[in-house]
This record gives sequence, C-alpha cells and structure tokens, in this order.
Amino acid sequence: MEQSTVALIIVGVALVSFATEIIPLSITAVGACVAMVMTNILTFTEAFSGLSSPTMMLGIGMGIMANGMMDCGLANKVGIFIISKFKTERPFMTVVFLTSAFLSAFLSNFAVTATFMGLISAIAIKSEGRITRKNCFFALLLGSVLGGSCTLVGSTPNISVQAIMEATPGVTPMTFFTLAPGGVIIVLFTAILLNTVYYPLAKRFFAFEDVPYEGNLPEMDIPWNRDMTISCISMAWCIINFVGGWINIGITAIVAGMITVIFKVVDRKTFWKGVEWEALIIMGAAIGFANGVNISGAGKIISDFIINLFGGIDTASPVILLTAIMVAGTILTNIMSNTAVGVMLAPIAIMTAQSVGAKPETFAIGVIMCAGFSFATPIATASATLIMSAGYKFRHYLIVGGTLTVLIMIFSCIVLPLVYGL
Amino acid sequence: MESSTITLIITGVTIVCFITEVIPIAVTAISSALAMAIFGVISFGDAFSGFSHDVPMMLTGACILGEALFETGAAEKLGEIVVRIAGKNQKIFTAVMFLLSAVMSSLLSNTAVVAAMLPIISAAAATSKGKLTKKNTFMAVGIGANLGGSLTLAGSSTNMIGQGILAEAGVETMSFFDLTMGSIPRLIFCTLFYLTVGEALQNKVFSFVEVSETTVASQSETASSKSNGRMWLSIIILVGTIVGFATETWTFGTVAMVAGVLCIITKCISIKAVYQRMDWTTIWVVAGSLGFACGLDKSGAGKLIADTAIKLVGSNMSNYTFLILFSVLSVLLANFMSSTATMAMLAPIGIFMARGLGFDPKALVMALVWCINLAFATPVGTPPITMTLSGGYSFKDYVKVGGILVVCCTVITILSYPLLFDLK
Repeated sequence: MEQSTVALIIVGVALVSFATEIIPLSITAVGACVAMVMTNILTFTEAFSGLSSPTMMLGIGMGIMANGMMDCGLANKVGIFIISKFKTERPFMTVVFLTSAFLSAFLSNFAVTATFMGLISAIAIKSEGRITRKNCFFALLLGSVLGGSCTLVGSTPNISVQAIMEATPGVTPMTFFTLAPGGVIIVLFTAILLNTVYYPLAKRFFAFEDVPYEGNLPEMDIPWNRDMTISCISMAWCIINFVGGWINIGITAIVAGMITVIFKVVDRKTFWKGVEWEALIIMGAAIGFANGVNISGAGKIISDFIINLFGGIDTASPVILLTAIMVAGTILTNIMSNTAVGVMLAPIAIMTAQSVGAKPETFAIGVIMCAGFSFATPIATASATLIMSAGYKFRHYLIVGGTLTVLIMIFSCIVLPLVYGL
Repeated sequence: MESSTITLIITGVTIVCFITEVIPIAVTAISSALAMAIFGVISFGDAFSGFSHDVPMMLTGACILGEALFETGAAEKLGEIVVRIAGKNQKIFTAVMFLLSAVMSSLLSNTAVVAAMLPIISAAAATSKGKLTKKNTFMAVGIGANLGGSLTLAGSSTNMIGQGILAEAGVETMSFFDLTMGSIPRLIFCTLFYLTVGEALQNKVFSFVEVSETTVASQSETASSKSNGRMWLSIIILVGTIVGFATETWTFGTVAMVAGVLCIITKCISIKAVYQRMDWTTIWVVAGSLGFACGLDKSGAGKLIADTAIKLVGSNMSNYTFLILFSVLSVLLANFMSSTATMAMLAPIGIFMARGLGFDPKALVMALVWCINLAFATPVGTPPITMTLSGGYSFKDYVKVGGILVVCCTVITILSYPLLFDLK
C-alpha cells in the first residue's frame, strides 16, 4: 500500500477516536504515533521527539511548580487578598474574573476554578445576600478558561498546538508570551461584556435560588509561610527568564520545578502526581497525528475543501477563512475536549493558511483561542461541569454562555488578525 | 573552565547526591542532566533526549502491561505457574530467576529480558503470600541480565561495538562463543552467592518495606470475576510482547508501547490507574542518566579519567598489568557511563596501546566486554539495572549488594586471565 493511504487510514481512525473519545485522547495520540512507526512512515525518534522537546519540559516543570503553589496555599492567599476587598456584587464579580484569569494563565484552569469556588462561597456566606454564588461562578468559569489562553502553559490545547507548530516546516513556534497580547485583549473585552451584557442577563435568567454551599469552607486567614516564599522565588525566576529569553524555556521550568521539590514545597515522593500527564502525553504524541495529516494529504483535502467553499484559492479572503475555522472550532470545543479540538484543527488551519499565503501562526493562535471558548454547555470543559454545583441547568449555559461566546468570538476574529497579522 | 572539568565536578556532586539521597534520586538524575545543559557541556536536546529514547518508552509500556496483568487477574495465574515451577523457597527462586535472566540475555536484549521478567516476578511474589519478595529477586534479575550479556557475542550491544572496533582496526575478531569461557566462573559464583549468603545479606541491607501490590491484587479479584476474557487478553498481549522483543522487527520501545496502548484500549487497565501507578521514579532516573551519560561522553571527561589512569601506571607495564588496568577502569566508568560509550571510548585507546606492547588486541576487547558488563554497583550504570529500581531499592542498596558482587566478579575475571590468554 502507498504510504499516504496508510497514513490516511491512521488519520481517519485517530480523528474518529479524538472526536468520540471512546479511548483516552492520550492513547489515541500515542497509538497514532506507534502505528506510524510500525508502518515505517515515521522513525521512532521522529514520532516521539515531542516527549523530549522543550515544551514537554516546560509542562513538567511548570506543573510541579504550580502544584507547589496550590499545596502551600499561595493561590488561595492571592485570591483572598484580592477579592475580599470588594463588597458589592458587580465589582466583586469583575475582580473574581480578572484574578482567576491571571492565575489560570500559569496554573491549571481546573485547579483555579476549584480553588475560587471555595473562596467565593466563603465570602458569599458572610455577605448576607449581597454577593451570590450563581452570579459569580459563571464569571469565574469565563476567567479561568479565557485566562488559560494567555500563556503557552495556560491551558492544555496551547502546548499541543505548539507541538504541532514545532513539527510543521515553515511555522515559527510560539514563545511563552506570544499568546499574551491577544489573550489579554480578549480577557479585557470580556470584562467589559461582563458588566454590560452578562450581568443583566444573569439577573434575568439565573432566576433560581442560590444553592447553599456543601463541603468545607477554605481557611480565609492563611499566614505567610516559607513554602510561599520559595514558590514566589521560583515563579519570579520563570517569568524573568521567559521575558528575557536568556535560557531555554524547558530548562527554566525544570529548574523551577526541581527547586520546589528540593525545598520540599511539594511532597518529594509524589511530586510527579501534580503534572498533567494526560495533556503532556497528548502534546508529546501530537506530532504523529500532525505528520499523518500532512503525509496522507488529508490535511490538503480538507483545507482545499474549506478554501473552495469560500471562493477558491484566488478569491478566498484569509479573514473569512480564519473566521470559518474559528466558528467550527468554537462549536466543536463546546461538545468535545478542548485539547482534541486543538490537535485536530491546528494542522488543518496551518495548511489552509499556507495554501492561501496567510500567516500560519495567526491561524494556529486562532485555533488555540477558540478552543478556549468552552462555556456554552456544561460539558464543554471540566471547569464548566464543576461550577454546575451553583445550580445552573443546561439552558443557562446555552443562553448566557452562548450569547457571550458569540460576542467574544466575533471580537476575536477582528482582533487577532490586527494583533498577529495575516 | 574546560567542559571536561565542569563535567567532573557535576559528576562528583551527582555521586554525592545519589549516595546520600539528600534529594530523591529521580531529581538528582534530572538535575545532573540539567546542569550539563546549563553549563553548556551538552545541548538541551542531548540533555533531555532521554525522555524520547527507546528505553523509557519500553519501560512505560512494560509498566502498563505489568499493571494490566494484575488488574485483570492474569498475574495470579502466571504467578501460580511460576511458583509451581520454581518453588516457594526464596533462595532457589532468586537463583533460578538469576540464571534464567542470564541465559535469556545471552541471546536477547538485556533490557527486554528484564522488562519481560519483572512483571512475572511481581506476580509470583504476590501469589506466594510473603514467602517470595520482589526486593530479594529484582536486583538479581538485573545482575543476571548484565552478566548474561557477556556470555555470547550477541549478548549485548557493547559486545557488538567492541567487535566493530576490532574489525575496523583490521585485527582478528571474536567468534560467537569466545566470550563464554570467561563469563561462566562469574555466573557460577553469583549463583552460589544467591543460594548461600545472598538472602541473609539482602534481608539485612534491604530493610525497606516491600513494595506491595496487595491493594492492586485485592481489586484484581473483583475485576477477574467480572471478565475472564480480559485476563486471557492480557496474557496474549504479554506473549505477543515477548515475541516482539525476541524477533526485533520493531524497536523495543515500539513493541512495549503497542502493548501499553492495547492494554488501555481493551480496558484491561484504565488510564487513571496507569497515571496513578506508573513508576515515574524509574522512568525519570533512566531518562536523566541517559542525558548525564551523554555529557560524560561528549565533554571528554571519561577520556580524561582514562588518560590520567594510564599516565599514573606508566607506559612500561607488563601485559597482565595492562589488562588489569583496563579492566578496573572499564568497571569504574561503566557504572556511571553508558556501556556502549565506555566501550567506544576505551577500546580504541586499548587496541592502540596493545599494539605497542605486542599484545593481542582481541584479548583486550574481550576483557573489556567482561568488565563493562559488570555495571551493577549503581542503579544508573545500565538500563536493565535501572529498571529494577521499581523493586523499591535506594542507591546505597546497589552499592552494597551489587557493589560486593562487582568487586568479587572483577577479581574472578582478573584471576582468570592467565588461564584464558597467553600473557607472555
């Protein structure tokens, strides 16, 4: 059989498996890699090179460090310090949104959501009804999800797309803060939306009684401890190096991770448990799938199809193509895993961009951004499911989240080309 | 500073950290590779290439397969069979496993033999109700694989590299069984060791609590009652993996990953359980020490050690002294560097010097093969030994038990030279 036919079969199976998630995403990705090796399409080293890439080390290092920040209570402390200053609901909600966005740019979105749910509940109980959980939790979801698109390690699709960018010739991979300009503008825009569109909508549609919080309320008065100092130092080390770019990002992050382990901020026997292996393995193995898409010509077929849909190679405007891909991505991310959307769409988006002579980087970033617009259904992402405890129903997500999704998406389609160029 | 000097300093610090375990050995291993990269001894890619190397992949796959065997209840069945054959006497069991691993790795890859044997031994240990322990057997299997590697020419990649260097130098090369005679005395010695004082010594040194699978085993009862099909499926995957390791159509990593993926797809084990029980320490140590070994080789630090040693002895040495020098040197280096790198480094120097002394280069390379395969005084010497870390050992345990055996085997090997070679 021709190599391209074999690759096409592998890609087809992987696509179905990514979309349905019958088997875990990471296993699909690794399986695709292994299949490529066994059929001699890729060498072992090529297929698994992602596992020793700087991005992998970045993920491991930052994962360990982030776990330390959670363990020692630093994340809680930062959260309490900022949000407890606000006593009325609207500014409180806005601050929750911004703080959670900031933290989830560096920490796991899910962990940030879980932490803040506790904090908000504790404050809501003391507020004598001035602050309600139902109004704030949704803002928290928006913050933690959108904040994740602000840095390379903010969320899981980011690193997977990065791996694909590294593996595709002619594409410049992102640096740590490449996503920041676009991400921050979207976050700020959403902050405005929250105050203008969301709040009236929430008042109208979240008409149910505020559900009382079940479970233990977090400690509100955490004393500063040694572990926090160490966490701060390693975080500062990371940010200084990421901004300055003197040392390889992988080395920087591993050093930070090792510092947290050596100084016992995280448990020394189980420190690797805090690393999001599922996401990292998908990232490490994404190259197999991406190569398959390229070699089999499947990417070309799909991207040609999209281009022809919008007037063919000479007339299709890059802006419209980007919009089309982002619309597709936004719909998919609300019913599928964010990471799967990133892995599936990124090779196609890059190829489309290259076909029409647009900047592939902008298209890849577009995919990352729209993979993060996952708040229009409760199953869109783990954080979205988590906040259901405030009492939301499916229709609340669809109406309130859906409205915001449409507005944010339109805004991004205009802003991303301006920020990153076409 | 010279990069070889920097490497020597890093090596010194690494050894101290390994032995004292002030920081976990996984962290030490990674940090040593990291330090090499930061000080510019090797590139980032080289330092972390260990993570996408074949060996960690193989380890990961084998680990998933091993857990799946327990999960489906297949381990119990296998364990019963193994125990029925090998018995419940720890001494005999260890010795049998040691010899089995040595014989198998005289033809197959050492790493593959260990990867295939460890899950089966865990199974036997779990079904023996405490009579057999993993900690008393794992290290012996690793040592067996190492010693068996020098039984025949095909035993390990080190041998092939030595053979290649001999061929390149245009001198007589080794035949398939040339290496056998020198390896047998050491195997006999170690077998006797395990049959006699071995258990008592190991019980004294390995004072840590046995890494048990009791929690897993108790879950497996419910799982096995649910599905008999999965049990057989996991056994089929195991057999397929062993066949795959033996035929070498694909790399070991590929075969093991296929096995791992199949175990998860067929729901023999859940992905959650995999992440929870994965033996990350061992994987990290393997990956880290591959990077570290690369630095030791590339920076020229290994060569520096060799040159210094040769200078110390002086150039007017007898043939026997010459062999002893290279033997001791290769044992020392092989316990920290990769075996193949040690061979690639020492053989050309040795052959050059042998010609000057009028000594048979083939005999020198044979001595090197025997001694380089004595890399079990540390867990980082060679991947098959590193894999046995999952038995719960610490660095010091290898130095104590493995170290004693390395010293004895080195002495035995050196004493056997006059019988095997013409040293005049």
